[in-house]
Amino acid sequence: MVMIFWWVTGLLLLAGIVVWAITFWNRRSLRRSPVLIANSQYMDRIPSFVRAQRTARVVRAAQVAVAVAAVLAASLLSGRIASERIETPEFASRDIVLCLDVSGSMYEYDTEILAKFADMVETFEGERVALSIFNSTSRTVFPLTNDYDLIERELREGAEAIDFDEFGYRLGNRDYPEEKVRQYVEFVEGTKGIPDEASIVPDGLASCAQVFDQAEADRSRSIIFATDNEVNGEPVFTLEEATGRVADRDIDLYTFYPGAYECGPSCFEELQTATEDQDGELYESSDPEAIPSIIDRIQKNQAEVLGATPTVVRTDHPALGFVLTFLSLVGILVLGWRAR
Amino acid sequence: MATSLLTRVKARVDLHTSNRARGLVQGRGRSLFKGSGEDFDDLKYYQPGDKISDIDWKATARSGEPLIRRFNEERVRHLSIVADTSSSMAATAADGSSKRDAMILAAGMVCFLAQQSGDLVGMVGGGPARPLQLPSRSSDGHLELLLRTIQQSTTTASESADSAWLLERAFRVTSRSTLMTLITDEAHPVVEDFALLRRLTTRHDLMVIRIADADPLQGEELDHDVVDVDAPREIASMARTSAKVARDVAAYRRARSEGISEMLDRLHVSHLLTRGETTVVDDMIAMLRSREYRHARA
Repeated sequence: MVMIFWWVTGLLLLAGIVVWAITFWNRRSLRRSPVLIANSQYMDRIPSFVRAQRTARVVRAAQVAVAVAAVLAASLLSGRIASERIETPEFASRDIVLCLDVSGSMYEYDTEILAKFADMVETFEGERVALSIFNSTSRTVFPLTNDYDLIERELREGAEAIDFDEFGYRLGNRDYPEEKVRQYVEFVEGTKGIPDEASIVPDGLASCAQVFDQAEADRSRSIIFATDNEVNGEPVFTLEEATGRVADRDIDLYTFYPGAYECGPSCFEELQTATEDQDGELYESSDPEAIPSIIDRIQKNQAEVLGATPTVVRTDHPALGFVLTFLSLVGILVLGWRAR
Repeated sequence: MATSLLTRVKARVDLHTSNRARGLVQGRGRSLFKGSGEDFDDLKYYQPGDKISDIDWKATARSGEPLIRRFNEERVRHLSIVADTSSSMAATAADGSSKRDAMILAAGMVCFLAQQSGDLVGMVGGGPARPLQLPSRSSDGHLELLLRTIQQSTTTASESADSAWLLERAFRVTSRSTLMTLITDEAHPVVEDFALLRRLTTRHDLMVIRIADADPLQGEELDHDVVDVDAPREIASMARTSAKVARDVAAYRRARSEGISEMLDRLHVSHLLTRGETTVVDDMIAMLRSREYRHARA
C-alpha cells in the first residue's frame, strides 16, 4: 500500500491543523459581548435544560469527531492510496519445480523455502508450481499446477510438517506432540523407500526433472533444488548425469546449498561443478533466514534471463476513503442541521 | 460623569411623570409617604422649655391657652434604602437595561422624594465581607454620595446575593423606625427570609422593589453568549432555543416570583416587580399611590 500523492495528504492535514489553530486562538473573539444574567442556577435542576445541555455536548463532540474524520478521510482520499505490484508478464509462462532434499540435515531450510513460496503464490499469474521431495526415494507432493489455492495450502502444510528436527527427536533431545510427529511422518512418507540409505541426491534431481510435462510447449522451466549433497547410499545416476538430464530438457537449475553437515568440501565442490557445468546457479548460505532473499535473487535472475522488465502496476483503492468522506460529509450536514 | 446622579434621576422622574403625577411629586411630596398615622401639625399645650417661636398664636388666641405646633422628631422622617449590591444586581434586567441602573433610579426616586420634604435618608448594603452603611442625612451631597455608593459597589465582582444577611444587617443597624425601601431582584428576598422580613416589619414600614431578571436563555440573541455573573457556564444554543426548556424555565421563574409575592402580601408589605430602568419610575409611582389609599380602603 502506498500513497501516490502523499504530499497532498500532508498539505491537507497541515491546512486542517492551521485552520484549527486559527479558530482555536480566536475562539472567543468570534462571540460578541455576552449578556450578563443572574439567578439562573436553578436551571441545573430543570430536567429538560440538563438534557438539552447534555445533548448539545454530545452533538458538539460528535461534530468535532466527524469534522476530524472528514478531514482525515478527505486527506486519505486525495492522497490516492494504491497498492503497488511488480509484475513481470513473462513470468506467467514459468514452470517451477521445488525439489527438496528432506533428509534430516535439511531441517529448517526446507521450511523456509516452502514458506517463502507459499507467500509468493498470491503474486503468481499463470505460473505453475510443483513440489517434489526426496530422501532415499522421491515423492511428488503435487505435480505442476496453477491451482493456487491448492499450492498455497500444500506449501503451508508442508512448511509446517517439515519443521521437524528428526535427528533431535531420535536422539531424544527434542520432543514433539504426537500430532506433529504424525504430520511429519505423513509428509515424508514414500521418501524412504530404500532402507538404510538417505539423500540419494542425483536420483532425486533426476526424478524432479521428470515432473515437467508439456514438453512441446514454449515455457520457461526451472528447478529450485535444495540439498547438502551428502549422499548416503548407491544412486543410480551420478550427479553429473542428473544435471546433464536437467540441462538436456532445457531446464534452468537453481541450487541452494546450506553448508556442510558431515561431508567435507568435496560434496560442495561436486555440487558446484555439476551445477555450473550446466549453466545453473548455486547459492550458498548456512542461515535459514537468508532463504527469502535468495529466492528473490533467483526471481530477479530469472527475470533477466527471460528478458522480463518488471513494471510497477498501481491499483487505486478509493472506496474506503470515498465512503468515509461521503459519510462524514453527510454527518456534518445532519449534525449541523440538528444543532441549528 | 458631568451631571450628578441625583440630577439625572430628577430628569428621568420629570420625564416619566405626567401632569397627572406631577402633583404628587412637586406638591406635597410628603403625601406619598403618608400612612404612618403621625400628623405633623397637631397642637399641644405649651410647656416650659418649648420654643417660643413654635407657639401658634392664632390658636392660642382662640383657646386662651398657649398652644404650640408640634415640630418634634416625627416631623423629620427617616427613610432608609436597603440596597442589594450583590453581583447579580450588575446583570441585565428584563427590559435589557442594567439592573443596577434600575436600582439607582429607584433609590434616586426615594432620594428625590426625600429631598422634596427634607427627609433623612440612610443606606444599608454590601455583603458579609464588605458591608456598606451610610447614616441618615438629608443634604444633597449625602444623597448623591448614597447613589454613587450604590452605583460603584454593585459590580460583577461583588459578593453573591445573600438576602438573609442583608435583612439581618438592616434590622440590626437601623435602630430608628424608618420607611424602609428594599431594592433587590426578582429572586429575592427568598421565601426562607419570611421570619427576618416579619421581624423587620415590626419596626419599619417596608417597601420592596424587585427588578426582574433578563431571560436566562436569550433564545433570540444567539450571537451573544449568556453568562451568569455568579456561575459562569456555557449554555448551548440547543438549550437556548428549545421550546420545552423555555417553557420549563418560564414556569419555574413564574412559580418563584409568585411565591415571593405571596409571602410579601402575607406580610402586608408593599412590593412591586418591575421590568427594569424603563418601567421602574412608573411602577413606583403606581405603588406609592396605592399606598396612599391603603388605609382608606382598609
